[in-house]
Amino acid sequence: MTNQLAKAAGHLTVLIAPALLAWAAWLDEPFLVFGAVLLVFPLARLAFGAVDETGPPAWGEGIAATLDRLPWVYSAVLAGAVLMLLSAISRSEPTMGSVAGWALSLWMTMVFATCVAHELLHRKRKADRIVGHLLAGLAGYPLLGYEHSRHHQRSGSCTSAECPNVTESVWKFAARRLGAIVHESLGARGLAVAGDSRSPAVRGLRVALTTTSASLAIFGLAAGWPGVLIYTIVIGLVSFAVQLVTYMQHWGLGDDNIEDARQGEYGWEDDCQFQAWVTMGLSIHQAHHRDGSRPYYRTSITTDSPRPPAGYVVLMFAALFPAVWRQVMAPALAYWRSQPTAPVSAGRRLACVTFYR
Amino acid sequence: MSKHRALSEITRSPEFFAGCADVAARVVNGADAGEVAALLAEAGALLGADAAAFASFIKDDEAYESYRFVLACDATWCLEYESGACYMHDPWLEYTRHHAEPVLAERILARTDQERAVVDLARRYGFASAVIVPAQAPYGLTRLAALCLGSAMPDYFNNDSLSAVTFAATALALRLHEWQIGQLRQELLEHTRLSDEDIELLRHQRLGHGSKQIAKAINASSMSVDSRWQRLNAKLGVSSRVAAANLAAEYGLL
Repeated sequence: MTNQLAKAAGHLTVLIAPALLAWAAWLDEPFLVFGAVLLVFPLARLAFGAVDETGPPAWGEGIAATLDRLPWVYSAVLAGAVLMLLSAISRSEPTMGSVAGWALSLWMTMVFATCVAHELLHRKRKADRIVGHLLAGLAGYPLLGYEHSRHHQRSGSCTSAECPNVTESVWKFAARRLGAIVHESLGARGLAVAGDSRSPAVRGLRVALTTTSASLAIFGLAAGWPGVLIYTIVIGLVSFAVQLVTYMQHWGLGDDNIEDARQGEYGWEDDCQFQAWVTMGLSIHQAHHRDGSRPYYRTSITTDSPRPPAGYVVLMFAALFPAVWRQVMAPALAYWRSQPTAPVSAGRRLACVTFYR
Repeated sequence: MSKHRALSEITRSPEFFAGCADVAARVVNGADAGEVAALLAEAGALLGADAAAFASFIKDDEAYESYRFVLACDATWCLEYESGACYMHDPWLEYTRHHAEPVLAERILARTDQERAVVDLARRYGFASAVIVPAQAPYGLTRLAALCLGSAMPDYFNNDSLSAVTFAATALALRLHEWQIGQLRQELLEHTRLSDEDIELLRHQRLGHGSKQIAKAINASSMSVDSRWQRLNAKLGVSSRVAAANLAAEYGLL
């Protein structure tokens, strides 16, 4: 029981980002969350190491119920942190630096919020899914619900922009994918505008869009133009970040490069324990694709999945520079194709790039 | 080909209802998907259709994970429909979510660009005229189904014989629906390797029995019942015993 409690406590780390945002607002330190996520989060691997390959324990019923409610707790904490942020912005004299800092910190917080929204959107209970849409809307990416269903149903497809082509840069992929999703959901005859309001997908999309619009209005009312500017930047950056993460999770594993990509539902699985906690299991991506409705606290890493040579933060920067990305990832892809059942783990090291060379 | 015969001629044949009933009766639980697809093709031909598609899904499924199909139609259409996840934007399936009455597909509005594209694709591959026959779930489950019969001839189903076709097709749709639920139940059993004891536990939960009551009934300690629930919940990938029993009921296990 104690062992289970200790393991379950790791999942509480998902609350770090919104708690840090609230603290940053209290201290009036705009860059705090951005700095912590970029500089401290990657180092957590040194402390927590890799995900246990044997999978999570058969949680006690009380622990499972608590972990199941964690996304709701997270949503409440995030809403509180955003209110504190609004209060901090409205109290202080805005400068370009503080606006940039808050925008970057809120962006980082909201990127993690999309992971929690994602967990809720996969659940069967309607109330969970509605909170998922509200959270996705607050995070500045209201299209998440529709986009993600599409992503699962067309998994592995490069033509549908669910996977990048192996030669495609993240910039081109993000533009192509966002273009398709925006057109399908927000176009004049798209789902949000023309869809049947009784459809759960349309209803969810509209709830999320209303939340984003309301959030923008609240930022404007509470913090004036700096608030509007910050939230608008966040909408743009979160929208890009979701495409960036999709790129990192599926590059080289689409049907342009892997024969059974559609059936295999391949995804890069980073085995960093801390990262799996703070992304609510999203980084254990292949397992998630193969059983999307399994809750985060019951997901085990796939034993023959492709493993990236570094965590998301490092890879995020690598992806921004296509030449660097290919240099880092091509050897890892070649390794997985030749030895799929012998994945390499960085263990407690920050990266295992050198292994693949 | 059936399209060369008028629908009225087909439905007035003395063997029409008996033939359809015979095919429906051969859709037995445990039949494999290939056999059922062949039976669907046979039934489609008896009903005057060039193409037939059967879909089954959970009404409130927003992630589209519950969708299952039996198809007896043009292979190109099947491939395009599946690879493009066209069911996400299929107005004919959307109709089934909210209606129980059979309807001509032309009366269903395609609202979005994607829905229009799905309908255009169907029209090109054997569904120029189509009739949708919804089937509600047996045993009070939330799973819905739809049987879609198509003809390459425009307006083929749009005549007085439609009621005879939908009458016969409804029986077939219900039978296919029951078969599909049986398939899913089998999949769940194989995937999770549920034992008889597990199912007994789930039945107790469905009856609202607590650990002490279950322990007494199965002659075990409460602690052992709790630990069996822990393992069972993990096996089913759910959060609680209530969710486990709901899942089992949804698959018709209880």
